[in-house]
Amino acid sequence: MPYADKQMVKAPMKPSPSLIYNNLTACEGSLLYAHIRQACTFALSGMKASGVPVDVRKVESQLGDVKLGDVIHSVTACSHNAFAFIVLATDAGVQIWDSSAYHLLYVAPLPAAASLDVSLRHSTFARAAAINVAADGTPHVVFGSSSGSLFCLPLNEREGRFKGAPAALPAHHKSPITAIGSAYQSRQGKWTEDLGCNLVTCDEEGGIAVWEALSIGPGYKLLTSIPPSGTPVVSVAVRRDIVVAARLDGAVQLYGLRDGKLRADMGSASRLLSSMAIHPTKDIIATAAEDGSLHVWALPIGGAKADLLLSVCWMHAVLTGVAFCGPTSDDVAVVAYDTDEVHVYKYAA
Amino acid sequence: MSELAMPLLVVNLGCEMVYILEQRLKAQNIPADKSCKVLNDVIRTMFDAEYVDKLFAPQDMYSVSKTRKIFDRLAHSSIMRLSESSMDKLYDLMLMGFKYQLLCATKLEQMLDVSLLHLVTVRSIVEGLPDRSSLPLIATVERLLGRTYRGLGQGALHLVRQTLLRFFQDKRVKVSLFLQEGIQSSMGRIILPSPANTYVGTVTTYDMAGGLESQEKFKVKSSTIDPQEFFVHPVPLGSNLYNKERPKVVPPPRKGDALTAPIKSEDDYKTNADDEADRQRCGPQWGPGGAEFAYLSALLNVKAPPADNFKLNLFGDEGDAAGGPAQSSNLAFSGAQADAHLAGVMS
Repeated sequence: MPYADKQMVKAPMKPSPSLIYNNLTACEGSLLYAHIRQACTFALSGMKASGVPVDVRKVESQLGDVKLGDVIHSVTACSHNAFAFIVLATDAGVQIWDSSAYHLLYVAPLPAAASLDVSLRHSTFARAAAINVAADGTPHVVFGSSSGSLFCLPLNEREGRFKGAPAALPAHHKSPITAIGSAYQSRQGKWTEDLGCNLVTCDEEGGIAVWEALSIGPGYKLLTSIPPSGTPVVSVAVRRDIVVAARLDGAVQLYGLRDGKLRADMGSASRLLSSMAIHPTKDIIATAAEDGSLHVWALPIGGAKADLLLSVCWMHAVLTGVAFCGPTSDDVAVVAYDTDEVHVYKYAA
Repeated sequence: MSELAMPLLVVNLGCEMVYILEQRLKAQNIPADKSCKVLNDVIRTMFDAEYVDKLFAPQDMYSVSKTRKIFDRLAHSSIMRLSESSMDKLYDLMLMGFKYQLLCATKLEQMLDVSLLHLVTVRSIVEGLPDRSSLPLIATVERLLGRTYRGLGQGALHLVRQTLLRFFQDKRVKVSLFLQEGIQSSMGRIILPSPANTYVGTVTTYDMAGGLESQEKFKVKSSTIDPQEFFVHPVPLGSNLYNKERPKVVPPPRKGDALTAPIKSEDDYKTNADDEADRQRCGPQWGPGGAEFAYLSALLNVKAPPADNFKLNLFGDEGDAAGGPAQSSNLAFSGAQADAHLAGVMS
């Protein structure tokens, strides 16, 4: 087996991660997570041996003289060719940082359309992000909002910058967006022939929408939708013609991208699944849940059979983020809410 | 974030406070008339109709320090006076109690169940008092809780939970009672319920027509761990753990304590993020308190202390030992009696 619970390196890490969906992302040799209103980052190379604290840097969000201190709802690393970005979705909108998390490249306040939310159950916020490339070749980042609205920001490839105001996708979701995925996001920006231009978005009521991006913004066309089941999808990925949706109740469900039909159901947690990561080149996923369980699965797609590659229980820990990391993205890092430790399960080829 | 988290926070923390105060008033042999007055005044102030009405209006969460101020006012809404040290410890116990209940709930709907059980238990305390005038207020809160949270979807409930747990982040205090009864490990971590169930590890595949194609069961780690390593405390979440009449719980021996990092002292974890954010959000024109907080806090109908107030020494470690200056009442007392149930309640 390539993973074993004994092949684990753990290191003290402060501050502790918050309990939000998918609170761990890997970007160019570093791991990032959110501690309430602050993004935190540390280099994987700093994890020398178990017990040696990692050197965590808090990302100082400042725009001019104003410190940005909004609650963070998601942290996502997006890559496109030579560029890598970190997208923080917050109460106020999105912040886009360079891969080092030193330079704030772009700030997009939540558009007015996102504030048209009359539920009064929650404040307005942005949550979830993914990179996609439209059929016309425009790379862009899509992010969601608490009203169910989706917005995209085109990337100027020549300059490596985001410009202009976010453009709205056609309306569809009526409850807060919980997860966004695309084949390109799932490959971490590594181009393959089967990528397509599909985007998958999920909402708090458990609905899933599959879009085709002919061009950005209004150029998005809804292909198919899976009706709300009542159980939100906390993380979603796309691999070839399959949507991989991790639901809050612990199920990871595989749906056909075009027909929306259920292909497989994988019991990954007993309750409150909080995070799922997909390997950029292999058909494997890692899931983490508030019940302390961490699993690495080989997906039953492309003729392959399902397999459980790693099963771990982090005792008395509410897991909140999992990410593939390391030089070949084969190691699995996991963090827990209110816990000052990171665990990395090393891959043994 | 959710704008429905404050009622759960205030109601549950408030009920925990009533549990602790009731136990301490009994333990320190405070005369019955004064004990009843304290409990009644605190409960009536906490569940005052106008205050509750505003509490249940959608609003942002307050920070830990601002919420502490609300409970400070509540605790002093009667003839009882607490020292700063007692109030700090009381607040820590309240926070850890509700944090434990939140973390050990296995279903999101349990947040409502815990809250309602808190109210049922406080109701039973009131029913034992000569003055039961706060009973209708409790009934109103029960109705409002049901109306607000029943029928919320899983996603909305989880957002409430995330918002509440953000409040409790980095609040880690070892509580002797919790350590003794196996709610916290020896390292101070709250023992969570087991992750094992029959569904985990099951992979089901379907054919193109939606029919069952195959089902396979994989062995998962959680199924191999002794169930006693997980949360097994028999008292329902939200019950009065401080009730001396309940049977003491002896936890099973656990090997798992050594597998996670020890809890560190709270000083290591203090963050100023929320207070800083409050200052930013509220803006200088509202002053350090913030308009919304000031409004809710002001609604607490706290009267000026009457002449016969007394000081309650909650945890027996305070400076006003025998020989200390008497309070304005005739009830200055010299430290707590030895109380095995809550002795050394803070580790």
